[in-house]
Amino acid sequence: MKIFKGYNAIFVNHLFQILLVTYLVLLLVEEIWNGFVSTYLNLNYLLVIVIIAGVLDIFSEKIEKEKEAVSKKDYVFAVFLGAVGFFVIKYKTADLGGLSWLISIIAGVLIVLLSFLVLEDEDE
Amino acid sequence: MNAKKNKWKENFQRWKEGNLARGTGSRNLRYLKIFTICIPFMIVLYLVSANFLVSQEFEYFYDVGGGENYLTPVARISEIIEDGNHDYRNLTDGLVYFDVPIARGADKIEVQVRFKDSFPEGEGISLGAKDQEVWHYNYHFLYNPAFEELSRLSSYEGVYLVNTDLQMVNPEILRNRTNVVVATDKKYRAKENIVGGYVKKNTVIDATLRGAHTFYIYAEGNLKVSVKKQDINWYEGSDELEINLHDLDGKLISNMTIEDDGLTEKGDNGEIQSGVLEVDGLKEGIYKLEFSDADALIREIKINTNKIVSEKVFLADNEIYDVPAKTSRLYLESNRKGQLDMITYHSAGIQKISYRENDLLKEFNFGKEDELIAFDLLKGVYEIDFPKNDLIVSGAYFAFSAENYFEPFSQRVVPLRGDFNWIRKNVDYIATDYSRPEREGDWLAASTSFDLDEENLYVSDNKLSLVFNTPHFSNENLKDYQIPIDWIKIKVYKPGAFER
Repeated sequence: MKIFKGYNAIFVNHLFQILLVTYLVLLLVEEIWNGFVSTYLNLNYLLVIVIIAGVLDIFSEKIEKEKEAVSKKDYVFAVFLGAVGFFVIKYKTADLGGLSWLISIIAGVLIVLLSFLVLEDEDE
Repeated sequence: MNAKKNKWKENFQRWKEGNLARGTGSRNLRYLKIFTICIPFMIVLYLVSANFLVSQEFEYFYDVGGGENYLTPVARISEIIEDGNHDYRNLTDGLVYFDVPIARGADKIEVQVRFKDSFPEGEGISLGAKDQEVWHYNYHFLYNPAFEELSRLSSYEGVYLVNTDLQMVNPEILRNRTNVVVATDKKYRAKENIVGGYVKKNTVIDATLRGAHTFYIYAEGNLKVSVKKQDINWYEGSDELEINLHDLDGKLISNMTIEDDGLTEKGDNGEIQSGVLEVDGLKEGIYKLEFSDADALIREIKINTNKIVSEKVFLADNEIYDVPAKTSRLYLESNRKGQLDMITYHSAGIQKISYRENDLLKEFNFGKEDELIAFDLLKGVYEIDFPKNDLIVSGAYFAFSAENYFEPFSQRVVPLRGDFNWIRKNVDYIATDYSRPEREGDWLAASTSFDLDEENLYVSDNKLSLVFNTPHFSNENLKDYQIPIDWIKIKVYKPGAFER
C-alpha cells in the first residue's frame, strides 16, 4: 500500500531525510555541549516527528534513482566522517587518559573502513 | 454522495495533470524542499539565540509533598504526610540534598522554600550550594529566629551596623574599612594588607598539630616547606596528608602528598614521615598553605619565611596522642574587644591556661569538655601558654611567635553565626542578603539567592547540588524536631548577550 506517490513521495522522503539528519546533528551537539539543546528543546518530541516521517516514507512510492558512480570525493568524505568520529569520542572519553586515545583511534578507523566497505559494495 | 465524490476526484485529477503539464508540481516541490531545509536552520537559529542572545528565566517547582521525590537521601526524609491542601514531607536528619538544572550561561538562582517553624529554640536552617568538585558547600541562612534581631540594626544595601561606635556604610565603603570584623554568609574577600617586617629566613613550628589547618604565609621567590607527619591510626583507612599552596584567588600553585605510613588498620602511632613542598618564582605576596584532614599529627613545619599565621589551631602535644606533653605558646594581636573560641573533646584537654595580656600575667581556667568556651579579649597583645594542649582555638590570627605574626587582610572576615550574643561581642558589621521569611499561617516561606559566578559555584552536568543544613539534628536530644517542607520554588536567571 503506497499512501504517497509522485511529487508527494519525493517530498515525504526529503522531509524525512532532513528531519533525521537534523535530529542526529542536534543529538551530537547535545552530547558535546551538554544542555545546549535539551535546555530549550525536548529532543524526544523531534524524535517522534522523525519516526512519523519515517513511517510515512516507508508507505511512499520509491522513486528509482540512477546510481551514481563512487568518486574520490566519497572516500574523502568517509575519511572526514572518521576524523569527526575520532574527535567526538576522544572528547567524550578524555577522562580515561591513555585508553581514550586507543578507543577513539579504533573507532575512527572503524568508521573509515566500514564506510569504504559500503562504498566498494555500491561500486560493485 | 458517490457522484459528488467521483466529480471531485475527476476535478482533482484534471488539476494535477494540468499542473504536471505546466511544471507547477515540480515548482511546488521545489518550494516545499526549500521549506523543509529551512526547518533545521530555524531550529539552529532558535538554539543560538536562546543560548547566547536573549535573557531567560527558568522556573522549577518541586512539590515535596507530591508524588515525585526530589530530596535525597530517602533515609533523611519522611513519607508524604497528608494535611488537606498542604501535603508535605519532614526533614528527619541533617544534610538533605536536591539538584537544580542550570542553563548554560545562567548567573543567578533564587530559591524559595515553604516550611514549618518546628525548630528547637535558637536553631534554624541554611541552604548550601556546592562550590567545589569535592564535598564542599557555600551556605546561606534560610531561616534563623536569631536574625529577627537584624531588623533592630540600621542597615544599608545588605550591610548591618552592629558596633554603634562605627558609622553605617555601604558595601563598597565597607571593603575599604580597616581593622573591623565583618560577619558574612556571602563570598566576601577583604583587601590584602601591606605586610612589613618580612624576612626570608627559616621558621620552625615544632608544636604538634592535629587535623586540617590553613596557614596564611607571606612569601617571595623560592618557598620551601618541610613537613614531618605521624599517623596516629585511631581510625581504619589510609592517612595521606595533602599539602596545597594556593594564591588568594584560590588557584592551586603547588601541592604535595605525604603518603600513609602503611598501617591502615587501627593501631599505634606510626613512624614519623617527611615531605617537602618547594616552589620557585613566587610573586611577593600572601598565600594560603593548606594541610588536609588526616588521622595524623603534623609534628613539625619548617618554612623559609618569617611570616606565618593561622585562624584556627588544633594543638595536640598531649599524652592522649602518644606524644610527650609540652607547653605550646600562641601569639596574637587583638584590634578590638572580642572573644576566642576554645574547645576540647577529651578530659585530658582540661587545663589552666596562663597568658600575658598587654604584659600582665593572667590565668584562665579551661574546665569543660565538648563545649565551646569563650575566652574574652581586650584590645592588645596576647601570649597564651597551653600546658596540656589537646584543644582547638579559633577567633583571631595566631602565630607561634611574635616575629611570625602578621595580619593578612585589612579587616577580619568571619562566618555569620545564628547567635546574636556572639555577634554583638565579636562583630562590627554584618554583610548578608538574609530576608525575613513571609508567614502564611503555620507555614513560613523563606528565600535566598546565589550568584553562580561570584560565589564560584560548581555546576556539573548542567546541575547544581543544593543542601538543606539543619544543625540541630546532630544533637541526639533534638532529633524529634523534624522539619516539614511543603515545596521548593527555584528561579534560574540567564542574562542575554547584551546584559552581561
